[in-house]
This record gives sequence, C-alpha cells and structure tokens, in this order.
Amino acid sequence: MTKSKTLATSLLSLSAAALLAVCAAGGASAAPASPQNASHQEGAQVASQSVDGSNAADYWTADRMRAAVPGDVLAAKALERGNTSSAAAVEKGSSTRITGKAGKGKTVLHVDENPVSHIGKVFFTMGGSNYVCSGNSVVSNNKSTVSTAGHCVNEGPGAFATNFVFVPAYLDGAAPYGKWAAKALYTPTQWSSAGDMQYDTGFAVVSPLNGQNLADVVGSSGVQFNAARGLTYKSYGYPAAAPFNGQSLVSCTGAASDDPYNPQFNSQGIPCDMTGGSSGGPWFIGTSSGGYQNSINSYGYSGAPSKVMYGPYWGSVIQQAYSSASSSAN
Amino acid sequence: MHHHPRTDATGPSDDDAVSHSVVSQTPEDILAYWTQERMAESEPREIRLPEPEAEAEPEEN
Repeated sequence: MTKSKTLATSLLSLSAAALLAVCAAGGASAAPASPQNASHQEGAQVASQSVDGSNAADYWTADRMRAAVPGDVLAAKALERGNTSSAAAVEKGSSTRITGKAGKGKTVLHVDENPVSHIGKVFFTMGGSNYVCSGNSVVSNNKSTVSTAGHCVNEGPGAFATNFVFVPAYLDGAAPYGKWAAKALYTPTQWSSAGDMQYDTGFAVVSPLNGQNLADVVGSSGVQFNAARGLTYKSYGYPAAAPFNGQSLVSCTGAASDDPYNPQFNSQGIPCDMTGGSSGGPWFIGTSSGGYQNSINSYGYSGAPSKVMYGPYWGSVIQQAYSSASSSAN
Repeated sequence: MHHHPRTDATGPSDDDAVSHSVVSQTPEDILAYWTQERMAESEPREIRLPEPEAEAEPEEN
C-alpha cells in the first residue's frame, strides 16, 4: 500500500460541508393536543410536544376535514398578533441544506455539497467537440497535478485532449480560484492505446497562475495506491446530465463492491446516481473530502436512473502515471 | 468554431506504461478559448455501458 499526503490540508476544508444529522421527532399533529404538554428548551428557541397519534386517523372524519380552516388563515392571524421576537433572535445563521428523499422507488443517492477548494470542473476539446468532466488537485512534486478520468484526457484509444483547463471550486459559473490551463496530460498507455477500462484515469499538469502553483492556492489531496478492496468511499463530481445541471458539487458515499457484470475491469462501484459530467471526480477513502484519493468516477450502466458509479482500482500502473505527472516540470 | 491546437510528444513516455501529451498552446491561449458560452455549452463526457441482461441483474433486497 502506498500513500502520499500533503501538509496543505488547512486549505482543504472550505467546504467541510456541515452535513447536519437531523433527527426530527414528531411532526404535524392532526388532533388537537393540550398545550400544557409542550416543553420549551434553550431560551424558547425550540418547542417540542409529545403526541399520541393513535386516535388521529379517527379524529379526521369527512366532515371535520371539509370544515378545517386553511393554514394561511392561521398564518394571517399570527401576523396580526405581530412579531414578538427580538431582532437579534430572528433567523441568523449560516446557510444549511438538508437533502430530502424522493418517494418510494426513487431513492436519492447523492448529497448536494458546498464547493471544495481542491475539487472542480475540467473543460477540454476532444474530436472537435467541447466537453466537461470533474477533477481534483492531488499532492505532487510539482504542486500542479490534477486527477481526472482517462476518458477526460484521452479518447481511449486515440488522441489526447486539447484546451484542457481546471476550474477548482466552480459554482454557478464562478471560478473563485481562477482557471488553470494544462501544459501536459498523462494516462496509462493501456488506456491511450487500447481504452482498457481497468486504467481509466488521467492526470493533468497545469501551468502556474499569477506566479503561484495550484496546490499552494487550493490545497491538494493525498493519494493512495494498492489499497484494500471493499472500502467505504465518498465520491464527488459535477454531474451535468439530467436531472442535474453541472452548476454545483454533488457527492455520494458508500461501501465499494466489485462490478458483477464486467469483473475483468477490476473496478469497484458505490451506490450513486450522479450522471455525465461527474466523470473524473475524486473518490476519497472514508467519508470526507479530506481523505486519501483512491479512485475516480469512471462509468455506469445505462438505465434510468443509474444506481451505481464505478471507479478503477488504483494499482501500480495508475501509480506510474501519477508519478510521471507528479514529477514532471510545471 | 472549435480551435484545434496541436499537441507534441503524444505517445508513450519514458517507459511504455505511461503515455503523455505536452500541450503546445500557451496558457493564455487556452484561457482565452474558454468563454462563458463555450463552458456552458460543453457536453458531459461519460462512459455509459449497455444495460446488463435482466437475468444477470442481481436481485434487490
């Protein structure tokens, strides 16, 4: 097992996307409940109330449902009573997103994320068309190496991409850390000459921007090769194909398992419904973007929606490609 | 219209296990190429393999 880790981790946590585990108890109560059961906590910020719901269904007869007062009438009355909260107590806090779940049969397998400084989109030209994928700044000797998918740097088999640029922490068209142009692209020869799915990984070495190296600006992830199989991973990407729009970062987390359909690929998959555009996004061992990178988003199977994202096993061959890129001049 | 810059040294590098391409464009040329419009119109590049045969699909719990 081989690990390389950067010390520039202080830059990694812009996102640390405060995913809050929220355990919501109770919910809407149907039948009237006695107010004396309500309890108030922490300076009256939160009130909770136990409700015995066993009789709620019986309570809502057809007549009662027809006679029920619309909620907006109650809201209007609340407005008439006026706002009794002090200005200091009202709605101040950081933005928080909590992803919901679709109905039965449409389980959502991704989480919306805030931007992460070292993860971004890559744009390139291949075969006369412009494409978009995802990428990540990785620890390297030249402090200028970006990981992505092999099919995002080379046709596999075929020609290398041109006009390759990395946009870290992309969000809604904004490039807060600038756009970094590639000066060299690397991939295992098995990918560039045969399109062998086992080796669908590529690396771009980018030029300095405003006199600074990429890793010094956005940080860089450690990398690991020849790791055990079946680990838990968190993958990131910018899915652009429907139902996504490619404008923000998304993640999936899960335990990896072998591809049951094409075991010769030697790849592993995690539960994930990311679509095209997420290709090349990093897989981190563990459950955060601060882990060692150990694969990339590579492929899925057709069918709507896709439920598994597969990534290549990062063994010695991909390590060679990484080492060549990492040690090249920037 | 797409610009098709030339790349040099395409092919296997110092050892045959790794191929690389040295980009001959300047960074300024590449950055100038990527207008907001081109970025917005870029297509996702993805590998989507044919759906496995139904009988080969593992059962869901």
